[in-house]
Amino acid sequence: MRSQPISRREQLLSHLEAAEGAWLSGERLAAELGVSRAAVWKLIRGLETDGIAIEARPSLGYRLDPATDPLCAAAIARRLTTREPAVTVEHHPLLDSTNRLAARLARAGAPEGHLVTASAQSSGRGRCGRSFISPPDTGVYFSLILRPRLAYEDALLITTTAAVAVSEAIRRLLPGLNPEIKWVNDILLDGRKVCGILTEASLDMESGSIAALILGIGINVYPPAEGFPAELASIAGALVPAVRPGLRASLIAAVVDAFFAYYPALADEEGRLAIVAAYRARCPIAGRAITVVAGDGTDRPATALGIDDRGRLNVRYDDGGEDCLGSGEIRVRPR
Amino acid sequence: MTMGGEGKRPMLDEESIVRLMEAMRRNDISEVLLRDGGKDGWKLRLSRGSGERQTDMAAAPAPPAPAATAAAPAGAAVTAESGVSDEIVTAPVVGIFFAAPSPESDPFVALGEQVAEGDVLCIIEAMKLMNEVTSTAAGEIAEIYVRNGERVEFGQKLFRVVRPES
Repeated sequence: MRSQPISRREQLLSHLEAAEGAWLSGERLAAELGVSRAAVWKLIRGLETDGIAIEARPSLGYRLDPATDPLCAAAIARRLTTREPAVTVEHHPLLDSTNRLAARLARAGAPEGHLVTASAQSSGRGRCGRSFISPPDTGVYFSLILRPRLAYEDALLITTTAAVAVSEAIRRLLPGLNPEIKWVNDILLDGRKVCGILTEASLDMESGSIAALILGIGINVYPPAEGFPAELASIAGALVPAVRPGLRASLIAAVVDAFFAYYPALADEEGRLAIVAAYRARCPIAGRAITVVAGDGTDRPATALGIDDRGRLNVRYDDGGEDCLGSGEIRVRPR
Repeated sequence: MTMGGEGKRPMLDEESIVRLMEAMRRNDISEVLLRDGGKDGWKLRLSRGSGERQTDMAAAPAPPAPAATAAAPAGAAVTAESGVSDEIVTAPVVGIFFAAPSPESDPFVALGEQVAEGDVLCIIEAMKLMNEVTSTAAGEIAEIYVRNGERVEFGQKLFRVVRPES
């Protein structure tokens, strides 16, 4: 699905990345790529203009600056363990939005499992087109093409499943962190949002079934160098304070693997109940005071009663009456 | 009326449909939608127009079609109004209706606008799944039945599209 074959520059980057901080001589790189040492040097210059920080020592060769965490398709692909479906990775230094490109590729017939990633997004989107801040090299922004062969009602749990996958991937890679899910699909760390999920479906209007679904995920891995913009400073957070080489590629692979480990379970009732049970364990909302944000702007205070077997939120309004929310949004009121 | 007993798959036979049609006429109900969301799901839409009534029903296709919860056109119903063949685009799913891609942007479509078949008309959100609803006909948007942010039910009318006269 790529517009261009993998370039020599990308091949060089994947060798440097796979060395995990070890030095690679120009001679060895030249042999691996089948080019001259002078060509290697040119390719290194090219990577640097792409913003990849590379250290060069005459006696040792080249290595990625250990204080950076660059992303490339090969780095993600070699960490993935999912076999079914086959995951193909397409990485771009900058995209307007990974969901937008993935949707375009899906319309052109891209298969389930095609993954579009970007180091930065110029107009990342959140729910209802709210912008999602995606500065370069601090987060991961990726969109997965899915073609679920599920009843629509069961496909409604895909966002729920993705939230579980993100929270489990973070726990696995970064022990000690305790991310929580805010219903439906935000991931919070110490009360600050570190991840947004945007799932977009194109419906087959004839059958009411899903033709293709784009699962878009953005995670703030590191704080932006200049800090979060003032309007986000109190609500946005990042996973870790300092750069760790390889963490971004590992995180994308871990989320995709965790998601696909659950994905087949959506097809049967037992599997769906297990996913919702995992969700409940990560979404401590029962008993909390919330505000139900109505679509027309009228907000109602309520108490969250719990998550039902379809991932919906049962609530009791303060002014009486109960509801089962399967759409819309809530705010959790401070304790 | 109940379609089938407790724990059984709902049954739909000719007699129940006729009874349903009579009940609609008796109670002046213009449209009824029944749906079985199960694996071999079916859907039945009965609608009464002004002086004219027609039905629109299809059985679920035989397997393999595990994804199909419904076989009848979910997004479209043809009504007969003053002889013009209008297309009514109905909600294929339950959720919150969004007329625009974002709160700041213009709606996907406005009254009087020409649309092509397949153009995105709105988004319906459920469980944070943003479902794009596309037009099932080419023509002019003559009516928008719902407001931004409103909750819509399955089969609820969303848009009336007037096909160009041929």
